[in-house]
Amino acid sequence: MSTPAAVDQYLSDLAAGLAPTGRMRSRALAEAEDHLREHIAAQQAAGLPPAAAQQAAVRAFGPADVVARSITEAVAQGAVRRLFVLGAALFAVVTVASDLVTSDFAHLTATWLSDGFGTVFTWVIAQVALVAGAVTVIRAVAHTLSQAGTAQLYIARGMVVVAICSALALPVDAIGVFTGPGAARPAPTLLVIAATGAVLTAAAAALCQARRAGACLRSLGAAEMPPATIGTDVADAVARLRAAAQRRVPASAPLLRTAARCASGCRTRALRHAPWLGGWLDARSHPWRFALLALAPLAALTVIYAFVQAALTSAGWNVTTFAYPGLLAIIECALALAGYATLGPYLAMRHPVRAGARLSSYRTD
Amino acid sequence: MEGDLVRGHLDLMLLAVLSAGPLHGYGLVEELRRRSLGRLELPEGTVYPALYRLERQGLIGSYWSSDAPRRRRVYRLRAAGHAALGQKRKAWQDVMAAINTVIGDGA
Repeated sequence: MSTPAAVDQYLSDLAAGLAPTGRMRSRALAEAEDHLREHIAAQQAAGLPPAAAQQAAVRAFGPADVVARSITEAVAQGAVRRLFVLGAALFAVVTVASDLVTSDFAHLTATWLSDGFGTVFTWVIAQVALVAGAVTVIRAVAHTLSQAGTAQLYIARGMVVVAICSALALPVDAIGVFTGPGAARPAPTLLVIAATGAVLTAAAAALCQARRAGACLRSLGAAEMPPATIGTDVADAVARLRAAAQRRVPASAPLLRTAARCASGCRTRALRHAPWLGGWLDARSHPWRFALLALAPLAALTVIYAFVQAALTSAGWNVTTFAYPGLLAIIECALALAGYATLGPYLAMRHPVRAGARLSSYRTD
Repeated sequence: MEGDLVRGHLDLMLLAVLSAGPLHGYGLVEELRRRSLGRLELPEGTVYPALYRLERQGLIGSYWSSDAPRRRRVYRLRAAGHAALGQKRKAWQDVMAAINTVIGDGA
């Protein structure tokens, strides 16, 4: 039987189902209470006794767990979307402003390390941001942002990494802290300080959104390893982009169809000749393969760089031409492995290591 | 009426109701019920997530009103919401016309 406490009980159930996300939670509860009380008043005005009116109002509002889940999903979608926009903006800033796109690669000479810890730090952290940002953008394209779920949790986590890296790298780089004796950095101008402040503010806002999104997504049970590998996500993202391009520019459809047919044909042929390739490239379960995959493009870049350098300086090329780029490639590979080991599980790029678990026993769904 | 069918078009209906003027949550549900002659069946609580989604998309705005005995959130349509309503209404009418053509009138 319904009691005068029926509304309180319902609101209590609703509160228990809502994610602890502060303002939106209290707003949802306030609106629900107002709605229920108004409904009860209307039912009583229509002649229903108080207990029956309360029961009718609560029943009409819907099961508390269903409503709570629905509200949490809506809040999570908003938070992930805002986080993505902020993270993408920071990602773009890191890409443009970091030392990665300046001349650090060419500066890999004896003076490089004398530039100070700040340069090395920025160089490393910018790459972490770039990898996390790239993976996140691929996931965001592959999985629509308007659905709350496991992919959204990892989109949020990727953007958290980007935000933290931006908050650390850009101020270090712009203000020139940790700068060594070999560096010739200009004194920070008002513009640089203002830009750094803006980056820090955006990073803080992104982390606030991440906290909210994380709380919502966890309460929705989105904490499992995503079923798709990065490779699957890339394929899904490409398919979505192709469909969007065909919709917007119908004239491009035949060309895109041909390209897709070619890619699919190559993949089928490759898998027919080497069926082991699909599982082999699942870097989530095989760290040393991940290192090889990371090293291969770097080794190629090293060789190309050495040849270009030799051609530009007309100095010919020899073993020393490869020395510094080779050192860079080795450091990069070590960094890739270290990043993979530490951030891999957090970004769902690698299965989490469980105590006593063997690599072969990890899920590879 | 089927709940899923109603939920699929809830955004359009909410925008249409709000185009007549600002309303709070319960008022919106009542207006939906009145306009549909009581034929729309959906848990009233599910209107709020839809409102939050529309608000996030910038189609509607909201503010706390203290006109009533209790503080309540009032929703109103924004300019972008008016434009979206026009597009959604047109899309719905096109789909409905196409489906009607396919299924006929049963005669």
